[in-house]
Amino acid sequence: MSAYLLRRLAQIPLVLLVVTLTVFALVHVTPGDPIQIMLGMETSPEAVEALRKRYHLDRPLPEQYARWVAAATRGDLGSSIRQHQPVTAMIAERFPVSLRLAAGAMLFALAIALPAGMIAAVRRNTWLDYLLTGVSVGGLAIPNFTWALLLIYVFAVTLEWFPITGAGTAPPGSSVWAMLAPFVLPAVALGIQQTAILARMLRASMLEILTQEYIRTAHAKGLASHAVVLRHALKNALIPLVTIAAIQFGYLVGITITIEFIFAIPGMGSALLDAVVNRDVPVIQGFTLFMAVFFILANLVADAVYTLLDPRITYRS
Amino acid sequence: MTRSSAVTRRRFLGGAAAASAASVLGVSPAVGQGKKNLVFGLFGRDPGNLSPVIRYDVSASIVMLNIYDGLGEVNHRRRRVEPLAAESWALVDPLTWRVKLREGMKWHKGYGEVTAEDLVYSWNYHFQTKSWQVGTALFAVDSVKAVGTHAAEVKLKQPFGAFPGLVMGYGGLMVSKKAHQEMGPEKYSRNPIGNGPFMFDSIVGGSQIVLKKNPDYWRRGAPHLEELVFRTIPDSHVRYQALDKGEVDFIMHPDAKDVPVARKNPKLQYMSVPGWNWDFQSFTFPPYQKPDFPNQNKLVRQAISYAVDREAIRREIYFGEATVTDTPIPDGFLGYRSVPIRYPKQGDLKKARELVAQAGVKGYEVEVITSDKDWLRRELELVAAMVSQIGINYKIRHYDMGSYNNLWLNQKYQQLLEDITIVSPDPDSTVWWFLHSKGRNSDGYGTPEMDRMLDDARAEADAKKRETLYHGIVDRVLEDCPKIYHVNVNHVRLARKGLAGYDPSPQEGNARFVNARWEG
Repeated sequence: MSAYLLRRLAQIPLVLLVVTLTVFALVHVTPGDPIQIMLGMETSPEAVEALRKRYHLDRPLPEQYARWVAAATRGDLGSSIRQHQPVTAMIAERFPVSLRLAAGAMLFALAIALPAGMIAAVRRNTWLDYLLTGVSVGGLAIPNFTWALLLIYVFAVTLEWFPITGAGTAPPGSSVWAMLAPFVLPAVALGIQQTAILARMLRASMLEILTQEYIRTAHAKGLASHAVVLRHALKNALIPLVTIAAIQFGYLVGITITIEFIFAIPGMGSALLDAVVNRDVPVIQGFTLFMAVFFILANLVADAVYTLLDPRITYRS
Repeated sequence: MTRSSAVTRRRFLGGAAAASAASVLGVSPAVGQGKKNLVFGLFGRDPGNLSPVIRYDVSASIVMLNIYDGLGEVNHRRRRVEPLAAESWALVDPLTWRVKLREGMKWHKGYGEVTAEDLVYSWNYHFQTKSWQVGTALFAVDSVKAVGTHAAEVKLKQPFGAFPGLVMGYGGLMVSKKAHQEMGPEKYSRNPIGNGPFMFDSIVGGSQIVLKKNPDYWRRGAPHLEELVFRTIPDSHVRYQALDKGEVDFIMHPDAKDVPVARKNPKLQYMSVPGWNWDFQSFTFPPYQKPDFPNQNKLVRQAISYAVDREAIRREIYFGEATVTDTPIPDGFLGYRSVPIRYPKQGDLKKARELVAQAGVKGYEVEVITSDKDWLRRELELVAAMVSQIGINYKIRHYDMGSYNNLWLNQKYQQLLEDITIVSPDPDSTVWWFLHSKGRNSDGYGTPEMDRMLDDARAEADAKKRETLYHGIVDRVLEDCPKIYHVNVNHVRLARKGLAGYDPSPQEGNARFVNARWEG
């Protein structure tokens, strides 16, 4: 296991090299000059040139790439052209917000998916299974921004249970509710699709396990059905679910853009969208690199969790 | 038998649970004071920097005009710029203006009095950094020097009648020299020290900016609000819902479809003024376009202008929240005339067809680009349908904003539909950049006659004479049609009932709350 993890860690620089090259190439292939966008149309060519020089955008592309990578290895991701703030400071400000949102979404997804997947498997081919399957497919089919608008209308505007905006803005010392309430609707909107994925996955996994010999033996021993399902079947069915959930969590952090936009959440997604629109090269590059590292680590954690949950699983070097 | 008043274990636990819940949930007792804060649901995205010596966008401008008092402020009703941080300005000779600053005006947070040194420092900073403001407002300024604690002398490179509007009105935001040198430009941009009615308090990047009342504001009794909060809500429909729900008190740019509902909403008040902006079609000219391309004939461009049913655009695209126009100078500017001046509101297809025939053009196809703004996409489709009736086929191309700007600003297009906000309050800004052969967005258009007219109007100091000159320029534009103007989109602002003392501006980036208060 340790050898496997070390090998995976050793692969990270190679993966990051590919990521940095791809991001750098994409940013520079896409048309649009960040300096021109920033300075607007009435500016002088001298002003454009001065700023371009300041951000080293006047240098040849290989040199720009080398400068960026060299600085990144020292933890310096440059400064935002539009925000006039170090990219690392922006990440430090915004990543916890996106993380909180994704964590909320995953908690919601697990809270619903666990009972739903289990019930659908135990009551397979009954109306309850069909209902849960139908709801899951619906959850998957409807995009999260539609869920967001629907949730706003029902729970914020009509019932007035939750606020629409204000996530991440509660001042220090605010009540727990003041800090959490604005995250509820965005987390649910973001988590609905994950709920459907995880519920379908758990159902399939449970169905496979429920046909195993040891389950039949447990029943034959006279154990109550709920004990068989909860203690024997669910425990094993959870292994792939946890792994998928860990990977999905990394993915969730990266797909918060639309939800952050709708609920005005100051997270990574909204900043990245802003940066793309304004061609804020240092922010696009820095954020993408950071997210890539985060995703790689999330995958690594998933692999580690897999072996911890099932000691029979080993990774060959 | 009487009820026991003793504290039982159950009551104690119940009380403790209720108290805990109240503290966790943040429930506080109701207070009987009048409302003293205002939460503004800000459109757009992260306002970015709040320093006037670094390029800022429209949403930042809204925040900044509550933090800073510029040298001058726009009085759109009188169509002129009036003194604010400056007490007065006067022309000493054709190349020299003397600016007198208001005495006793203080920078926030103990940074001392506003002096001419601050003005000199701010403008010199623009010159040294070659900032965008040199190109937009200060281009005619040769030098500035302090001639007393509260007076500065401005030397010009050329006579410049647009000085009050462009330099005082648009270039007139200053930084505190002491604070700016102490903090450095980047820190200042996120911790601004202003001289206006509200002081910067805190920022949550991308989401919220909090301002507090400036207790030392020079205008006695102002501001009335204790706190002004700007919360960024990019989605227009969500912005309206947040207002309806009372999470915010004031919004701009609601979704056009929400406006009729909002007008009937008893909790809200509605304000709508024609904006200082245009939706317009623009053409490229040689060297960016072939000289024999059909739209190089001005009769064809006139035909397009006649073919456009501007009233339909106003009704269908903006749900009535726009003002039909055919001129570059909107209401509120010097030189404005009642619209439309030449092209009928509902178009004139017969006239358009005659002009196409007169030009000897038998129909052609042209690529027309626009950005990803959904209203422009819909408007372009509508306009394409209109001009198809005179045999012109618009091949529509949509681009994301970055790619679109790249094409537009580098003249890599044949024809486009764009909307633009005019930020400075002088008619020079509405025409010079777009029509002068040296203008950044003339896109190849420019004639010696137009250049001369624009330069003369820019130099003339007498307001009456300038007005006449701008009328002549507009007449020329209506004849040549290098740009075709459709509508000025109204700025719709919605507020919770009870907001008083707020004067809606035709400028998108101007929403000052210095006199705002809650009544009732």
